Amino acid sequence: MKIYDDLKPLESRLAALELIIGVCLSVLAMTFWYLQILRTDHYRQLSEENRIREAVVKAPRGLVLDRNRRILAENRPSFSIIVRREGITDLTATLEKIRRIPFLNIDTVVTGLAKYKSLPSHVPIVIKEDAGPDEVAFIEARRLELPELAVQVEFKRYYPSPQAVSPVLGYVSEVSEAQLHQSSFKTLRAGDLVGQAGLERRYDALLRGVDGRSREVVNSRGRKISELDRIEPTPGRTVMLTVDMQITEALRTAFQGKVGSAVMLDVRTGEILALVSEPSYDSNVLTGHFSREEWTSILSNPYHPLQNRAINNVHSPGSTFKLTVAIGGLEEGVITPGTTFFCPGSATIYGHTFNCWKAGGHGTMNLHSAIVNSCNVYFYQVGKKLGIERIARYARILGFGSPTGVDLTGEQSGLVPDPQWKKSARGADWYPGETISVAIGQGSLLVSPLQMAYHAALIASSGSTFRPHVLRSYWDATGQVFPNDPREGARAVGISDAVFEQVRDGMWGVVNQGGTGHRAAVAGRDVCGKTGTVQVASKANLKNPGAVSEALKVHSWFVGFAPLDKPEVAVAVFVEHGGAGGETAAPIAKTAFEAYFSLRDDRSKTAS
Amino acid sequence: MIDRRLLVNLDWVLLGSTLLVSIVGVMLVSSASQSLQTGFAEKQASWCAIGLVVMVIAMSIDYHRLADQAPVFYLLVILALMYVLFFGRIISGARSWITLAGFRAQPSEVAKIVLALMLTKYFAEFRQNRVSAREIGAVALIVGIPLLLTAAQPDLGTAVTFLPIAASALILAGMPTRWLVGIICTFLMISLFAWFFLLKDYQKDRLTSFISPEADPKGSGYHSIQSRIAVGSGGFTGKGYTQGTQSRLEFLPARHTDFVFSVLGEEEGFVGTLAVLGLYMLIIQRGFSAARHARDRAGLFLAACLTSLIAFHIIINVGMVAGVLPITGIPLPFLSYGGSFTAVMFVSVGLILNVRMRKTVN
Repeated sequence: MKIYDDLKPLESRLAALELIIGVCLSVLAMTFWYLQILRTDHYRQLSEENRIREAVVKAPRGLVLDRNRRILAENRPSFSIIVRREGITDLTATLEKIRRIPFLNIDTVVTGLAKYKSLPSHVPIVIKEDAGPDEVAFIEARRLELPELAVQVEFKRYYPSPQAVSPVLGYVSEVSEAQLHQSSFKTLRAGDLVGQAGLERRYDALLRGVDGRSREVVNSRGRKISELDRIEPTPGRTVMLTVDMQITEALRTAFQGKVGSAVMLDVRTGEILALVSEPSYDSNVLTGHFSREEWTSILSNPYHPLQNRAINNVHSPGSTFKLTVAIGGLEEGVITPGTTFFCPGSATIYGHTFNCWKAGGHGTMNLHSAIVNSCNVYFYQVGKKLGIERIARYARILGFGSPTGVDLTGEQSGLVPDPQWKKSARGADWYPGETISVAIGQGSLLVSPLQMAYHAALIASSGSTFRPHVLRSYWDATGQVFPNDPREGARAVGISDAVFEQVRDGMWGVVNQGGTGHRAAVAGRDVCGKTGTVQVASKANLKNPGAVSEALKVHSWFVGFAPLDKPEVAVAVFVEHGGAGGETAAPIAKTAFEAYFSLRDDRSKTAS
Repeated sequence: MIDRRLLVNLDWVLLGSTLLVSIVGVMLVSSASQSLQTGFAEKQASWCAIGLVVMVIAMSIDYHRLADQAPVFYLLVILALMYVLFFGRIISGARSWITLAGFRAQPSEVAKIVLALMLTKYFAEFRQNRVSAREIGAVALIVGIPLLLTAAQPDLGTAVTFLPIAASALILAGMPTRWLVGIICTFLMISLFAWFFLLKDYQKDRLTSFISPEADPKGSGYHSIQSRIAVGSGGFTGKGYTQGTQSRLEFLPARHTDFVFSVLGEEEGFVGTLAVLGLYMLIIQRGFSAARHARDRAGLFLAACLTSLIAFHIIINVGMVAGVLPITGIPLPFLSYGGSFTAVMFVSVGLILNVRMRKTVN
């Protein structure tokens, strides 16, 4: 038996030890009270944000059909390789892993990560589009080693015949930084795809649809465990165009590598049946998240294929403008159909000598023969009598100097010069000789091929045609069809039918009475038209007269309609450096007329 | 083996609360390991059973006999620690495991008990009111050797848990104030030295991230934030057993081991955390009560050192879960999944019960 030890002094130390521990545990209990009672809403929200991910369910973009329901733009499933940024714990390690994957481009990944910094980290970033089956298998097989990479099925815009449709349809690519700041794109986020040109851009709101949303439960590695709820996307509307792809393709074939553009309009409705701009480009190359290598070849092409030459480019109208002067002269009464002028090959007006294109002169010309022969001297005289103000007024009434209002992007106004314009734009007074130049379509006049086709349609319809347009109708998933009403934007012309009839007769003669446009003639179709040849006299060419190059050749125009009685279609063809209008542009117009009439007859046969 | 008379003094409250916490532990491990392979809860349950057996053994043998054998245990543990340093299995970066007759065990866990017994033995016959440099030096040596060996594995977390055993023994033995100040200063200097020369980057990250976990939420602060989100989102009543999203969707790290208390907080809410903290307080209070009523100095030292050891684990781990202390990888007694650790905690309770049973002879 041991002697009892005095443990009294130890008891207070024991108490101190117990107190320290007790205080610590009490503080911890208070911490939990703080976390679980006072801050519980805050942490509950954080835990919800942890587990619930909102994913965008992309709305499929609307289909685009031609007037015969041929598919011009559709959506094709494509495998994309994506990066989930929330799954990245060590960026350098992830980049190193990606670097070792042969088919991924590390630069795309690095720039992508920088570009989409603003997006929430659960929004995946596409680092490769159109992954092949081997590449998809490669990524899928490495889900454990590469948890931050995944394969995602996306619907990618696809154009079955891209070269033929690109001038009208444009293309779809990622919304740009600048566009994101515009109000019309305010619902979009970086990385979203939008129409960037043509119809895709003009009707982006119709085609885009409304994205859906799904809320998913995810685990800490961002893997989807289940779906909480889902709002289905509203698909974009199906858009039917006025365009007839068969006519378009016939026209493209007729161009045979020439540079230029052509437009065919339905005179009765203003529908654009064909719009061609050559050279064209492959819109599939430009569509998507990334610009492919072919992008540079499109950009560096000296003929700028991205321009829609029918509406983005304006040129001097040349002799086709004589129709405007003729209409103005008749309507204003300064001439009658019987008024004659003598053409000796040149005329001296306001102290200057103006030449006719025919050196020996045409002799005595009335209105009809002056149009058929495109006699300059006749129109110098009419132009002088009309004066610039009235010429300009009729030019504007007949479709020039302002956009036609076509539903495509980037339409140019062109230019109808008058003294007021010259004063403000050039700071100089109009001099009378300029009026004479304008009367035969030279001088500062600028028109686009679409304006020219519209002009022809106005003449053909005695001013009753409608605004040119490419949208025929559209419908949504419910099947409700919304037709485009072309009557809005139709303009009052106020020129008598008899005047138009005189000019139409002249145009018939141009094609069918041995005139400059005889190469456009189609047997039995009474094609009417007018040719134009535009001198290319740039300073560069004048400095270097020895080089008779392609660039020195004149531009050629053909503008016309058919048939003479009850006109149906109007055409404008412009070939850059094509030579005389009658030689290059007129045969292309002929192809268009032939295509139109043979298709029309075929269809009426099958219909009946 | 156990004298029937001794059972009269068995502390049923301590035993009961220990068993209760252990049952909660098995349930939490079961909930937390849903997304892992199965079998964790069953294993934890069997370790508790083994723990109960060794606990009964620990309370049966008179603690005086155990303390007398302390130097032998001490020597064996030092040898085992040296052995694992060279031949041990590496698990989660530390060479700390030894395989004995098919069982894997961590000598560093066993060292906790042995140190308590060794210091008990050392101070059993110490009759002065204040310790002197000699005693402090001796304690530093006794604790220092296994501490350095464990730290070298490297398992800094376990090594640190040896300190409260030494600290409580010295405080009980009568620590002069100037020594206390001196030791704290020395400790700070060693910490600074370790910070600049010894600690590896991941260890530093873990220690600093608790100060501002939001600074690098995806990096070293991630675990701390996720733990706080789990606990805080539990609210008053919790999300329900096995319904914790932070745990189920794997946002919580080490949820069946070091962060098991986060699972409790998320699924059972403030009610659950308070209940378990209450049980812990009960265990600690009964531990100190055993020390207070010990028949002699040896009993007092043994019960107090082991109670301090248990309390230290609880405070450091729960503090880490609450995000107020750094992440150190110190497990939670009776709740965290782990064989050696669970067994050692049961042995500690067994020894406290041992002291209690053999209180003042009537």
